[in-house]
Amino acid sequence: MNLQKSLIQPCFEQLSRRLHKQYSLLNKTLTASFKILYSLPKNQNVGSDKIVEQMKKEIERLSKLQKDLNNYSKDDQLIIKKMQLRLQYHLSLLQVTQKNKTKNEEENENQEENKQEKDKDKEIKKENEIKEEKNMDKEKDKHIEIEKEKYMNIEENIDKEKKKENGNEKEKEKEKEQENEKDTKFFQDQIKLRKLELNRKLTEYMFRKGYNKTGTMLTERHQFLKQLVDQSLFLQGKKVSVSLSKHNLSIPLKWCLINRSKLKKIDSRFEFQLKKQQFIEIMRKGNRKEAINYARKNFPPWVGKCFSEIKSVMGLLAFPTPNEQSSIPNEEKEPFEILPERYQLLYGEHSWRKLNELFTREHVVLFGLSESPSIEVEFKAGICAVKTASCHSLHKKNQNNQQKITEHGTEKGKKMGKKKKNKKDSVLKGFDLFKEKKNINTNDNNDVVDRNTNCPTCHPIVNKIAKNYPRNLITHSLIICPLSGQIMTPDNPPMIFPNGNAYSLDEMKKMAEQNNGIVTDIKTNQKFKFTQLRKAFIV
Amino acid sequence: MEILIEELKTTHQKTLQETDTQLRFTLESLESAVEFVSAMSEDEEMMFQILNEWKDSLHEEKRDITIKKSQKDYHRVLSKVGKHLVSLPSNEIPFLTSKKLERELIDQLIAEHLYRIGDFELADQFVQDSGSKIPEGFRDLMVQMHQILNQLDQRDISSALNWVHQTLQLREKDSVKEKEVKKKLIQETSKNETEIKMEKEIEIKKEEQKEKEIEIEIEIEKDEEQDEKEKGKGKGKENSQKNNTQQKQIIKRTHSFEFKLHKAFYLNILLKNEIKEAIKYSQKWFKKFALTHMKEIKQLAGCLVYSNDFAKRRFPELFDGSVWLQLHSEFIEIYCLVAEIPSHSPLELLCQAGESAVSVLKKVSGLIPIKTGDELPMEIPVANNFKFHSSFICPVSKERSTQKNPPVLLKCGHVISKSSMKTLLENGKTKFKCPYCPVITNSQIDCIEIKF
Repeated sequence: MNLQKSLIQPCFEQLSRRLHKQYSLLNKTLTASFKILYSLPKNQNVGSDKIVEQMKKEIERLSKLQKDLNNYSKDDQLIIKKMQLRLQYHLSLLQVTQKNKTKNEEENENQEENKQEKDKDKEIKKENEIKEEKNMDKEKDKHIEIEKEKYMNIEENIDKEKKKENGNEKEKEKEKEQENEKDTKFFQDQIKLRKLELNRKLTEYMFRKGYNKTGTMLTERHQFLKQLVDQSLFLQGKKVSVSLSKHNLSIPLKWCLINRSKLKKIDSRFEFQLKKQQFIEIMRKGNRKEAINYARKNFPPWVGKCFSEIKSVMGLLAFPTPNEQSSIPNEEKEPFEILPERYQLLYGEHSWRKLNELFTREHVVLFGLSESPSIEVEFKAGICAVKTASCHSLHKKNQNNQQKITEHGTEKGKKMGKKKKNKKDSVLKGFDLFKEKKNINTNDNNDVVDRNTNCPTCHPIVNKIAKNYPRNLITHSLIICPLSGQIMTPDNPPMIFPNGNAYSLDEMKKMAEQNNGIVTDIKTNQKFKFTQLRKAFIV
Repeated sequence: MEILIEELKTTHQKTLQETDTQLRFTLESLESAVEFVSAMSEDEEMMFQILNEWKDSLHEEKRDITIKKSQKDYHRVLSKVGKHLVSLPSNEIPFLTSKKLERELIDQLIAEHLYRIGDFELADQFVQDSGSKIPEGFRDLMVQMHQILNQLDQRDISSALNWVHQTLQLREKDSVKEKEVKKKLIQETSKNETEIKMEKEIEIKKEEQKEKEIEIEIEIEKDEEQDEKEKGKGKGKENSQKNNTQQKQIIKRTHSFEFKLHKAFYLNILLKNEIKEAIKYSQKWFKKFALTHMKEIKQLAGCLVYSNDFAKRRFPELFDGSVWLQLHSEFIEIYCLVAEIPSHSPLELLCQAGESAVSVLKKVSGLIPIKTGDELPMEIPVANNFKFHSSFICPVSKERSTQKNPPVLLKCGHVISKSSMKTLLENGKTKFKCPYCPVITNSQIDCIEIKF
C-alpha cells in the first residue's frame, strides 16, 4: 500500500486540474454563445447578413470548443491509462514482496517440519493467487489483460536489450530444479520487476535533485519508466525554485495563489514564509513605512499559527537596515554587525535557502509523494535491517589512538613506512579505507568488530551514514564460517578448536582429508588433530 | 481501487461521447438555420419566423444544460478517487527523513552503483550533474571488469585469461615478498628502537607528506601488535598470516576459475564438432589442472567420444550455455575479491533489504519512538543472503554475546554465555548441570570460551 498513493495521486491531481480547466472553458464558451444565439433575432432592424455572420461566428466558436475538448480528453485518456498501468505495476510488486515475506519467515524459523507445512501452504497460496489472477483478468477488459501479460511475460519486450538478465534467470532456474515451472516464471518476473523498481526510484531521485540530464537518459534506457515517473511535475517545480534562487518572489506568490486551497489542507506555512521574505526585502531597502503597511495587510491572517515568527520579524524595525548608517557616533563597527545574529541571518542567504527547501518539500507533498526521495527511505530502512553490532568500525578508542599518534609525531610511522610498501602499491588509493581496520577491534560496548568486505554496512561510506541509525534486533543465533562464508546449520555445525576459534564441519573435514587428519587454525596458524575438535550445538 | 479507476475510465468516455454528440447536434442545427436564413435573406418576415422557431427549439432542447450535466458524472467519480487517495496513509517515516549530511554520501553511493552496472555514459553524466566524488581508480576497475565481461558474453576468453595470469603473478610475488618481510620483522625487533629511528627518519620524511593516513593506520596496527607482543599474543603475525592465507585463497579461486574458462572454451569447440581442435586445446591447457580438477577433466575427455546430440542429452548442464552464465557471475565475484571491494552494489542490496523493512518500520514508529544508535524494539525479518556477520544469542538469557560475555562450550557440546554459566554456579562450586541435558560440566576444566 505504500506506493499506491505516491504512484497514483500525481495522476489524479493532473486529471482534476485538467477537469477544472476544461469545465471552465466549456462553461464560458457555452454560456456566451448560447446567450448570443438566444438574443439573436431580437431586432428586426438588424440585417440578415449580420445575423448570418453572427451565427457563423458561433459555429466557429462551438466547433473550436469541440476540437479543444476532444484534444483534452485524448490526453486525459492517456493519463487514465497511465494510472491503470501504475496500479498494475504496484500490485505485481506487492505480490513479489508478499512472497518474499513468507520466504523470509521460513528461513528465520529454520525448522524442517514447519517447512513442509509451509510448502503446502505455499502451494495453496500459489493456487489461490493464480485463481485470483484469473478472476481479475475476467473482470477487466482485454486491454488490461494485454498489459498484464506484458508484466508477466516481460521477456518479449525487453529480451533483446537484456541478455544478462535472461542469463541470470536461466541460471537460477537450473539451480532450483525442484520448483514448479510457474514458480520459475514468477522468479523471472521478480528479477525484472525488481530492477525496474530500482531504476524507477533512481530516476525519481534524479529529477527531485535536479539532475535532469541523467534522469532523461535513464528514462530512455528502460521501457516503462516514462510512464512511471512524473517528470513534468518536477520540471514545473523547477520554475519556482529557479525564481527563488534569483530572489524573485512574484512567481512563487502566484503559485501559492493557485494552490491555496490545497496548501491549506496540508496546513502549510509557505505563503507566510514568502510574505515574511517580502517584508525583509522591503526592510533591506530601508522603507520602514512601506514595510509596516505591508505587514498590516498581509500578516494578520497568520497570527494564529505563526505569531512568534511575526514578532521576531517585526523586530527588524528596531535595528538599522543594511543600507542605513549607524546613528551612534564613533562606532567602529559596520551598522549591520550591531544586529544580533538571528537578525543577521534573516537578511542573509540562509532564509532564501530555507524557502527553497520548504518549497521543494511542499510542492511534492501536494501531489501525494513523500517528502524525501523513496530511494533514501528504503536505503536507510535497509541499513536498519542489515546493520549489526559488528559492522561499526568507527568508535572512540580508535579516535583516541589517532590523537596520541599526532601528538607524538610520526616516529613510529617511520618504522612502518618502509615495511608496508606492499600496501601502498594497492590498486585503489581511495579504497585504503577498506584496509583500514583488518584487525579485530572492540567497540565501546566491547562488541567484537569484524569487517566483512561483502557486508554493505561495512562499506566505508555506508558506515558513516549508518552511525545514526539503529540496528536490527537479533533473536536467533547465526554463526558464519570464516572459511567458507556459509551459515552453519545443524547439518554443518561449528567445530571448536582448543584455543576457542570455530569453523564449520565441512571445511574441517576437507582440510583433514588433504592433510592427513591435521587441521590448522588460520587465525593463529596452530595445528591440531581433527579428533581434538569439539562439536558445538547451537540452539 | 482498480474498480474505481475502471469506472473513471468509462464515465470519462461517456461524458466525452455525450458532449461530443450534443455539440454536434447544436452545430448541425445552427448550420441548417444558417442555410435557411441565408436562403430566406430576401423575405425578412419568413426569416425571422424561422429564426424564432429555431430559437424556441433550442430552448426546448436545452443542450447546453445537458452538456454541463454530463460532465458532472465524470466529476463525481473523479472526486471518489480523490477521497480514496486521501484516505490512504502517508508514506512518511519520521526518523528516516533525509538529512543534509547524508546527501553527498548517497550521491557517491549512487555513482558507485551506476559504475558497477556498467553504464558508463550514464554514470559519467551523473557525476557531472551531481558533482560527487568517487574513489580514484574505481572507474577504471569497473571499465576493465565490464570489458572482460562483454568479451565473456561473446564467448571470448582471451582477456579474462590475461587478467587471471596477471593476478596470479602478482599474488605469487606478494606471497614471496611477505615471507621476506616477516624475516625482516624478526630481525629488526631484535635491534634497539633508537637505531631504527635514526635510520628511518630521513627516508620517511619524504613519504610522510603523501601518505599520512596510511601511516596512521599502520601505526594503529603496529601499536596493537607491540601491545600484544608485550602481552605475548602476537596478533601482528596473525594479520600478516591472515593476509597470507587470504592470498592463498585468492590464488586457489583464480586457479579454479581459470580452469572453468578453459572448460567453457573447450565445450564451445566441441559444440562445433571440431574434435581434433578440442584435443589440441585440452592437451595445451589442461595439464596444470591435472592434480586439482581430475574428475572434471575425465568427464570432459569422455565427451569427445559421444556424438553431439548424445552428449547434450547425457550432460545437459554442460552444453546449454549455462557454463558461460556461471562464468559471468563468478568472474564478478573473483574480480571484486581480488580488488577487495564488495561483490554487489551496497545500494542495491540495502534497497532490497529495505523493501520489506519499510512497512515494519512504519508500523512501529507510530507506536514506539525509535532511538537512533540503539537496537530496534522489534525484529525486521531479513533473508539469509543479507546476513554477513556472526552473532550468538544465549539460549538461557537471550542476550547477545560480547567480548566481556563470550559464549562458552560445555562438555556436552551445548553453548551458553559466560554470565548464565556464572548464575548456574552456586556458592563457589565448580560443577554444574547443563540446562539442556543431564551432563555435568566442570567450569574450570571442560569449558572453552568461543570466539565466533
